[in-house]
Parts: sequence; C-alpha cells; structure tokens
Amino acid sequence: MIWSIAWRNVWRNKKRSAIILTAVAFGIWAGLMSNAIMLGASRQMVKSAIETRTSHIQVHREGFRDHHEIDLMIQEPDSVTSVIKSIEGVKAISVRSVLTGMCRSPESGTGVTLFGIKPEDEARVSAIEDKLVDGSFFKDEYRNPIIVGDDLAKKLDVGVGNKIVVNAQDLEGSIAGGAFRVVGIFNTVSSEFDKSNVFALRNDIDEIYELGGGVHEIAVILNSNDMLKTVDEKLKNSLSNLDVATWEEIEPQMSILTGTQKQMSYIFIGIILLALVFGITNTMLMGVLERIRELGVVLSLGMNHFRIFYMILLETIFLSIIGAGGGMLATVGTIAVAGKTGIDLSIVSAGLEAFGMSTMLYPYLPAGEYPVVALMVVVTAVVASIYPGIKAIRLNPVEAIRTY
Amino acid sequence: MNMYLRLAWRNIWRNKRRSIISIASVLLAVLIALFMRSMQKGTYARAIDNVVSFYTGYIQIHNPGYWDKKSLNKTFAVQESLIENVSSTEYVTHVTPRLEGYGLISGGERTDVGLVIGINPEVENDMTGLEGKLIEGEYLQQGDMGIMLAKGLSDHLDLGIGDTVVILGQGYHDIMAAGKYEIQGLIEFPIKQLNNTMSYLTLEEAQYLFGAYNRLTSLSIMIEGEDKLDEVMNNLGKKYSEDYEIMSWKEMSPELEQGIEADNASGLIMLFILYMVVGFGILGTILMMTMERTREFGVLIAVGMKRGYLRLITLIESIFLSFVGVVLGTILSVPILAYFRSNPIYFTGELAKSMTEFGYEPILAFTLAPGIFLWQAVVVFIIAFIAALYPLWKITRLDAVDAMRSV
Repeated sequence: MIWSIAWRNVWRNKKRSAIILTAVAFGIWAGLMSNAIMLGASRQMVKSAIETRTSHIQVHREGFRDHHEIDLMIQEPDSVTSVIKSIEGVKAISVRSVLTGMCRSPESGTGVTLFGIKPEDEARVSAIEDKLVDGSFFKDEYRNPIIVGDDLAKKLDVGVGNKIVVNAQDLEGSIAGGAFRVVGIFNTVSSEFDKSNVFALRNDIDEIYELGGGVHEIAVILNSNDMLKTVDEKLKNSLSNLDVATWEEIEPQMSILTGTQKQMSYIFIGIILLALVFGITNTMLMGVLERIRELGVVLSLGMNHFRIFYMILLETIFLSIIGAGGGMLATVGTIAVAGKTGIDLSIVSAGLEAFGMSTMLYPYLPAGEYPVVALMVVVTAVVASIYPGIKAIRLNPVEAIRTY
Repeated sequence: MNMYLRLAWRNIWRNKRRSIISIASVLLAVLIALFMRSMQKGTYARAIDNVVSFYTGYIQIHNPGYWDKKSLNKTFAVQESLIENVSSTEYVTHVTPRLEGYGLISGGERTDVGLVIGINPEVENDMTGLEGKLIEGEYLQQGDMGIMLAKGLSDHLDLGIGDTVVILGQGYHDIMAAGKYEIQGLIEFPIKQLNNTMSYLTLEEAQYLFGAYNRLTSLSIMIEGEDKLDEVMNNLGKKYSEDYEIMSWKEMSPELEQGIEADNASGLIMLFILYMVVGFGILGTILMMTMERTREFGVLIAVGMKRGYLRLITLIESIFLSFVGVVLGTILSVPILAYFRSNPIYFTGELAKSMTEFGYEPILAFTLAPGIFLWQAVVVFIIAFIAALYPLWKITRLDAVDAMRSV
C-alpha cells in the first residue's frame, strides 16, 4: 500500500515533478553520453594500436625492446614460430627483422625504424595494406621496394617511384646504406607512427645489412582480444627464454589512459548526481512542507514513524529512477544513432591524431554500465530523502493538524 | 529601486530552508566549476610554457618552406641586422639562432639517430635555461669543440663524459656531414622523446659539420607572454613575411594547441551540463515561489501594483538567489585555488610515466586569472534570467480576480 501511496504522491504537483525529472534525465543522459564517448574513443585507440603498431602479442629476444640492438636476434625462429602457431587462438603471425636507421632523400633526412617483412604474412597481421593512400603493397616488380608513412614522405619530399636511402648499423657494427624505391605510402591514425616507420622486404634487408637470415620480432594476432590472457600465459610458459609481451605491456600508457578515462567519467557522473541531490532534496522538502497537515493526521491516527520515512524514501526513489530511466532510454537511442553514423571531430583532428585517435568517434557503452549508474542514482535518492524524511517524522502531530 | 531590492530580498527568505538549499547548489556548482577551470587554464599555461621555453620559443623565423621539410637546404644566411631588428621589436625578450639537422650518432659499438643542434650557448641558456638541465660535465662555451648529449641518448650509446662520438649525416647541398666530438656534458629532459634524441654543439661547430657556413635553420624568439603573441606576430609579419617564414608555437605544435582546444571544449561541455542540472534546481525553486504567491500577486495587481514592477521584483529574486551562491562560492574558492596554485598537484607512478611519454609534464597547475571568475558570474546570470522566465510569463497572464480566489 505504501508503494502506491508514494507513487501517487509523486504526481501530486506535476509541474514540480516534471522539472526535477527533466533535470535527472538530462543529467544522466549527459553523464552516460560523455562516458560513452570516452569509452568509444579509447576502444578505437586500442584497436588502431593493435592493428598498426603492437599486434596482440609480440615476441622478441630478452632486452631487444629497450634499444633495438641489432645482434639480439631470435634464435631458431622456425621452431619458435611453429610453437606459436600450435597454440589455440592464434590467427596469424608475421616474422620481422627490425633496424633503427637514418632515412635520407636528396631533400632531407630523419630517424626511422625499418621493418623487414614478408608481404603475405604482414597483410594478415597488420592493417598497413588497408591504410595505403598511394601505390601498392609490394605488388609491383621493383628492386628493393619500400613503403613509408605519409608524414615521412612529405618531409622527405618523395612520392611513389622515388628513391630513398636508409643508413643503419649492420651486424659487424659498421654503417651500411641501402637504396630503396618507394612503392607505397600509408596513413594511419597516428602521425607519430607515420613519421618514423618504414616497411621493406625481409630478403632485401637481409642482404643489405647482412643479417644472415636473422629476425628480431614475431608479431602475433589472435582471433579475439578476449583470448589475450590465456594465449599470453601459454606463450610465456613455452617460450620462457624469450620476451613475450602483450600490447598492454608494449604500450602501457594505453591501458593506463583507458583506465583513467573510466575513472574520470565516474567522477563526472558523481558530480552531476551531487548537484542533483540539492534539486531532489528541495523538491521533496516542498512535498513534505505542503503536506504538514496531512502528515499530522496520519501520525495522530497512529501510523508509525518508520513507515512515514519509508514512504518519503520511496517517493524520492520513484522520482529519481523515473528520471534516470528516461535519461538511460535517451542514451540508448543516441548511441544507437551516433554509434552507426559516428561523430565527426575533424576540426580538432591534428590534436587527436597525435594521440593515435581517429577523427570519427563512435560512442560505445557496455550494457554493464547501466546497472552501475542506476545503483548510483538510488544511492543519490536515499541521500536526498534523508532531510525531508527527518523533517516529516519530527512533526508534532498536534501542531501539524492545526497548520493551514 | 531600493524598495524593490528589499522586497525581493525578503521574499527569498520567506522559506529559508528552500533558499539555502538552492543557494548551496549554486555554491557547489561554482566551486566545482572554478576548481576545474582554474586547473585547466593553469595546466594549459604550464604546458605552453613548457613547450615554448623548452625548445620552440613563442615564434620562429625560417627560410620559406623549412618547417615542412626540415631540410638543411632550406637554411638562410645570417644577417646581423636581422637578429638586431628582431631583438628590438616590442615585447621580444630573446632571440636565439639555431642550426639543426638529424644525424647518425655513433659511439663504439652502438649507433643511434639524434638531432644535432648548433646553438649560441649563452643566449640559448638565457632563453631556455638549458644549463639548468645539465646533470653532468660542463656546459658548452663559445669556442668549445665538444658535444652535449641528452641523457637517454648517452645511456643508449653506453657513453659518458670524456667519451667520443662520431656523427654522420647529410649536410647543406647534400654534402656528407661527418665529425668527431668529445662528450663534455649530459643533459636531462623530462620529456622522453627529447631525452632520447637531443645533442648540442656550438653554432660554429654545427655549421662546420653540416657545411652550412654562416647559415641558420631558425631564429627562435621569446616574448614577454602568450598575450602579446598576436601583436608581435603582426609586427614581424609586416616586416619579414616576404622573405621569411614566420611561425607561432601554435603552428609549430598543432598537437598541443588542438589538444588544449579539445580538452578545453570537453571541460566547457561538462560545466555546461553541470550548470544545466543546477539550473533546473533553481527553476524548481522559482516555480514554487511563484505558485505559492499566486493569491498575493492577484491582490497586488488588484490594488493597482504595476505588473512591470512585479516582474522586476521576481527577476531580482531570481538573480539574488543565484548571485548569493556565486559570491559565496567565489569567496570560498579563492583560498583553495591559491593553495593549489602554490602547491600544484604532481602525478606519481604509472600515470606520471605515461604522461611523460606523451610529452606532458605530470602536473596539475592552477591559476587565479580573473577571467575564470568573471565567466562564472556571467553564466549564473544567464541561468537566473532563464529561471525567471516562468514567473514573468505567469505575471503577464495573471487574472487578478481568479488569482485572488486561488489558495
């Protein structure tokens, strides 16, 4: 019975209730949407990092990742690759040689990381082929073909068909220089990556820098990111003498950033709810004050204090939850639309690309977020009902029935 | 007028609790908003200051086309008159000449790619405080033949003071640049990217190394402050834009500028949302105040009170209600912000590391610039006006006879 009384009380003053409902709905919608936008952005960041830079897992000789020392090669790569391939969940691998060197054109020069790859393997592991904006992915018959990022090409003032030279230390410790012909230009979301990474054929690299068939890096792509932990554990066990690193270990700042973003959005929703507490308290307080006489009557008829408080509490929860429900429905709707069409952020694109983010943003909110926020709203309602509730049960019945 | 102000003031305090709760909500919003804005603005200023005084300067002058290519072929010949003229431009505090190019830096077993920068050690130090970042060895002096390396670079090359490095690179007009230098100083930068690449020679040595005699890649200019940027850019542009490329830090570090803009925009959106929510609370209170006074309004109009004055009173009420919150919030915030301005928050642990890797100093700085306070007052006034629309409309439509009959 208390439930239906509380429910009806909510609708006594429709205008007042409507205002506070709108406030709650708007606040929840705005809070959830900012959460969804942040989550969408970080999901895209992780996806593009895995696709272009880190893969799911990378295997190196211990210590290679620190400074790319040329002599820290993976020994017996064939047996290592067959171990990796035998593990369930591994979708594709690419075996690479990795050198750090100076890339020069007649116009200019800069430092780069040079990857030696096999095109058919690499295409299955990284999205570089899809990111080509000019030329092709090692399809044309040229001697020493190379693929460079668009930012690098611009800096060196080269295009498809031009020659560049990459100087790097060879195994002996002397500087070897190789002339390459640019056959493709890629553009990923990270301008930092595009500025400093070039891809050439492993056989060519092997010959020019006299690596003797040695390789430095095995990039592994899994069927899905969910298998990361299990595959990582198996690899770490079976390749105990090598450095097996997941994308989270290769770019730790990525997982920290996404974690921080999540905290930030909860803090923001918390601030909104805190602001709402005042509005809800005020509304409920008014509701109590204008019913002083009525409350006095039920108190003198012997309704106990606990039930009065319970009624006020229920009213507050109804009020908040209806508003929050409306806000959540609006969020679901907005995400359904914006998740497909995307939000265009190209006005600020250069800033985002520097962080490895795409300019089209697709908001995304896992279903698990809704109950958490609903719970936060209920807690808010409980807090907001305390003052009006105490006000109601402290009434002196005799005085209260004389009011008005 | 005085009477209306007093009437409005008393009306607010008819229901003390309700007004106090409304004022508290404004106060809270103002506190949060001021805290956030002060932190954002302070941190931006710090980030700009870092980038500008670390390296780029507020403005740089190059040969046209240099910035895109960073090619030594796009250098320009030094003219003393140019440096003197730029130095004497109003608000310019420092002008430092540089010649920079990439090269392979080799020491014994290992080789790495580094940025070799030729500087005038004294002027460079005045402008960027480079000597303060020296952690070992001797700072360069005019005429020195040695090299200073960033700590990350020297660690990688496994070299220390007194060791020798060989630099191989591409010089002016594509000549081969090659030189041998003794390490005379180690410098530590907080930003990883700089710490792994920078190396310094004297300007004369760098010009000799790259075969670019008497040539510069850039003149880097410091000015009195960010607020003078547009004016100095204009003045320099008038004089030199035909022969040179003049760029501000915003063009040279678009990531920073747009990162700031994106962060600023998201901060403003958050505050907008917060104020909307608080605004609804105010609207609710004003609505209550209007509804319970319907009868009173009717009586006042019936005895000849002008509706205009009635509207004025309700408007003042709405503004009072918000304004008390703004004033109290501002007063409360000043000591808090002042504390954080002199004791900025430093991040620690993993987060700090990742910020450093992204090229940001792991710090939250605060500012007490008057702009952020003024802004609050404007926003709250807008809220007060919007909230007052309901009673204004109500008074316009009010039928005195009906109103007097209502409770």
